[in-house]
Amino acid sequence: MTEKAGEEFLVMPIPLELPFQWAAGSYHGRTLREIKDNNRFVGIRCPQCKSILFPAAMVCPLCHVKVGEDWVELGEKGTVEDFAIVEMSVLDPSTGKERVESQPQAVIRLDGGAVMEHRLEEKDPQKLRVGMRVEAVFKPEGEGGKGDLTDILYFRTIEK
Amino acid sequence: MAERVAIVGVGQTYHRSRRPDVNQVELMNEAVRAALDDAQLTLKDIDAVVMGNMELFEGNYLVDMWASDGIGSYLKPGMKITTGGTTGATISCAAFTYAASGLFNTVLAVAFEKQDEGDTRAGLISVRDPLWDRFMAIGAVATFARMGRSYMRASGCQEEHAALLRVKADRGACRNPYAHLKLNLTIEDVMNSRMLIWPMRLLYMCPTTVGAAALVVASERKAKKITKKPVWVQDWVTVHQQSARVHRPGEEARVRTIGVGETSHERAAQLIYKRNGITKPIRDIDVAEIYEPSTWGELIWYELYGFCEPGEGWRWAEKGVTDMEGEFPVNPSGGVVATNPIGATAMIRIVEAALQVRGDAGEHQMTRPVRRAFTTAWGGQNWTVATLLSKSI
Amino acid sequence: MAERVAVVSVAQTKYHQNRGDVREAELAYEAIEQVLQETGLKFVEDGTGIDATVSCSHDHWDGQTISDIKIGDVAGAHLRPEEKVAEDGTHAVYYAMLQILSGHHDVVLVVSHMKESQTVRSMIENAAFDPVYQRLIGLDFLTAAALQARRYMYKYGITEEQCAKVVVKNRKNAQNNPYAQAPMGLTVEDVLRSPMLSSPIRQLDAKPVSDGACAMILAKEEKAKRLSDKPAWIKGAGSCYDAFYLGDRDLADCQSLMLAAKQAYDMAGIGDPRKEIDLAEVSEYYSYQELLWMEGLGFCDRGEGGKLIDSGVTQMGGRLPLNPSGGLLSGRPFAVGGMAAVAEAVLQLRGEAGARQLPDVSTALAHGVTGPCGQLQCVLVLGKD
Ligand SMILES: [Zn+2]
Repeated sequence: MTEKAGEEFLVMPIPLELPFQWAAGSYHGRTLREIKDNNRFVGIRCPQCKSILFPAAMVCPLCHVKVGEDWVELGEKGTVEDFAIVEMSVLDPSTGKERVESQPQAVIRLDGGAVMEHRLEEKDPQKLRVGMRVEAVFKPEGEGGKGDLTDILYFRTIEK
Repeated sequence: MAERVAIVGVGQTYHRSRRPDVNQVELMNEAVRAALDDAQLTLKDIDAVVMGNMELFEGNYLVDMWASDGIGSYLKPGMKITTGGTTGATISCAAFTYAASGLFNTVLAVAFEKQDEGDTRAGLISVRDPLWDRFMAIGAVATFARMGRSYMRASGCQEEHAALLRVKADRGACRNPYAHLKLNLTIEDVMNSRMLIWPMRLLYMCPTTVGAAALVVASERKAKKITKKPVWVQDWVTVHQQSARVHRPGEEARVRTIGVGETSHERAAQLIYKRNGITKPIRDIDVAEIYEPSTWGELIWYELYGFCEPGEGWRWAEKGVTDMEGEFPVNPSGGVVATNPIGATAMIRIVEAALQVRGDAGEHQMTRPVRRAFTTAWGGQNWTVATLLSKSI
Repeated sequence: MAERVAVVSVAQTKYHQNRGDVREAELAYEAIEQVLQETGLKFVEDGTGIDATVSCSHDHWDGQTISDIKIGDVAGAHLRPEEKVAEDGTHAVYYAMLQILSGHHDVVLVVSHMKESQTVRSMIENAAFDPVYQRLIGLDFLTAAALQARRYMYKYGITEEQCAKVVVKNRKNAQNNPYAQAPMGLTVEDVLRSPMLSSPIRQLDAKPVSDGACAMILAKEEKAKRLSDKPAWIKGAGSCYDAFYLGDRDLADCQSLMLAAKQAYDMAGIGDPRKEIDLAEVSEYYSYQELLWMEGLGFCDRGEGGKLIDSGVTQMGGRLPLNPSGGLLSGRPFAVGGMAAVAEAVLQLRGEAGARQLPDVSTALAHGVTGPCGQLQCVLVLGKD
């Protein structure tokens, strides 16, 4: 194998973009619609193992049964189970460009039992801890909620 | 099994960051030639060709079509099978399946990734659900950083323990002519490398590698004619974990890994041990080539594979149990943190394990005889492929 | 061969131009749920249920790396095996068959899904071509097929009318298939008056955009006999790649299909397919392909595909009906298309094809295609005993 300087070889840049129209379906779609219309988080409970699927899905992967209609409100408050300060630049999936992830990412267990990943408002590492209480802050009305997790600006600290 | 099968030829490319001197098909062809040479066969002897990679990474749709000239599938049966990070192992299992079916005697399996031609991070981000959290996806770095954090909180592990394993991997890579990163690292080098997301530093994460691997697999009667050193495929297993976010009542997320309940690693290892009478891996297995996209994964997965007791992984790192000269060597090749051409990575585990069984690994050959080797692969949203290779039937 | 493999249950969704109401997993589960109900099988560990899943989908079409992540949960993958074949669905069936022949699994679920409506076919297909040599000239599988059609028609004197007759026949057959997307009473003139897409292929010569899913269960002999009164045995299977570069082969020939067919016929012990096959479901993405594939499958001599459609042999009631379901031209997505061909063969063998049921079916052929101009071919021969 020859290992020569890269400039000697032709490299063709071909950007590839593919447009998609993804259907959310009735279960995942309801979770998204509740975020958009009512600023609340809802999951669905498996009739067999009582696990909560959040976002909702049609079939419980653990029991292989259809979940039915046992919708569960999870609340907009929760506890931070884990957080991370991202010190590398990351690729923005919506633009394909580099971006700085300026807010800490966190795993938040909502009071209703389910877990979601989102960003924290608090950037000061000294003030971040596992177990801190947070609540979701939604985009103000009229600022174009899309019915996805970007309708939530971040989770803000609600107590010491 | 209808037909016992053996690996009769292995090949891989020298792994690099960039290979502008070849296109994707030429890259695959290097590994194919190496495997055929190793088996002392030509394409005429091959009955079927299976292949795969990460479909989206280079942006090629149905890349097996373009590849047909370079991998020798022209006018032969075959297919493309892709399962994410496990792809290289899944294709190997497909070749075992083809050869064991009784319909084919000699099967070629080819896996590759040319990561200098696409955007791997874009590919990995698109693992995440576009209708849920893809918007904040970072990729595997964040996943393994999270594993590392929760493991440290739960077990008493310190960063030094990861650094010890990273140095162990580098020692292997420096002895492996095919490895990508050969850095002659010290603990200090590792612990001073750039922080990405705590406790994940640059050197704890696998590199972006260009490379390919290939296997020649044969049915029992053919294998014995092809080589004096067939590596018998004792068993293989694939196990998934759920991908929906399932929250069991009263159950906190497992500290040592993401997800809840039993992991695919645990189930896969237990299943293959049970089926093959392995009760104590440290005694019954001579070497393991595992798929550790991050050193943090390696530490934790020793426990999930049942190599050691829960919470003992970092103590193993401290004691050097998994060093090449240790009691239970893991990844004498340098592993995935040294070399990661994603689609081929899991096949390289099998290639390296086969070389160890044959005694042909060269400078990184274990000094002790290797009767039985264990390999793993990890991919998708948490799934595992494990294989068991053996010197004798 | 020691072991025999049968298809013991099949299910399909109704094919539709846009299933915007469901996610991929929900679409797949519509088919999976039916085969679970029909067989009573469960995803259990004790050896009495389904041992493994083989799925078939494509990252490009799903817009997701590792597209089987999406359907694993509904396909019983949790703590169990699942592998994804990234070809047309016939190869997924073929792989499941090999898994059983290898002795590794006894009962395998196969499932394919595709929502062609959610993205743009031509952009995805363009990405199948060599990025440096071919992509920038804008090839997709339609324009490549147009080259093949032109070459085939030129070499053998096949006419546009003969191609149009395939459309008329298949769309008419679809009128008796409740799963078909677009059954239609058409005339040859209707086809010839439809807008030109890429000469000589017109709109009605091409498969419509389609969404759908198909599932089936394969089992080894002993279990197949317990799971179904009417198992459909896979008697022969063949698979073969052709050359990639379109200039490296005579597009009017289909050498890979001839070789795949030979493998399948040899394995099934078929000497004369024209006499021994009772019906065939072939994957015609474009009308000319049904004629060309008939030649590759040995249903007529080379260049005689046009005469065969003229003769009426391939109509319902003819000696060798082709695509009684209505075929791909009546609307089926890629990836699912070939599995739907297998499903139709099974239904016909079981006598469960409703208004389109053919009499005395004992051997049926299902065929699938992947890649530009039929580069990868798969042939499965199924039989009653
Ligand atoms: Zn459940």
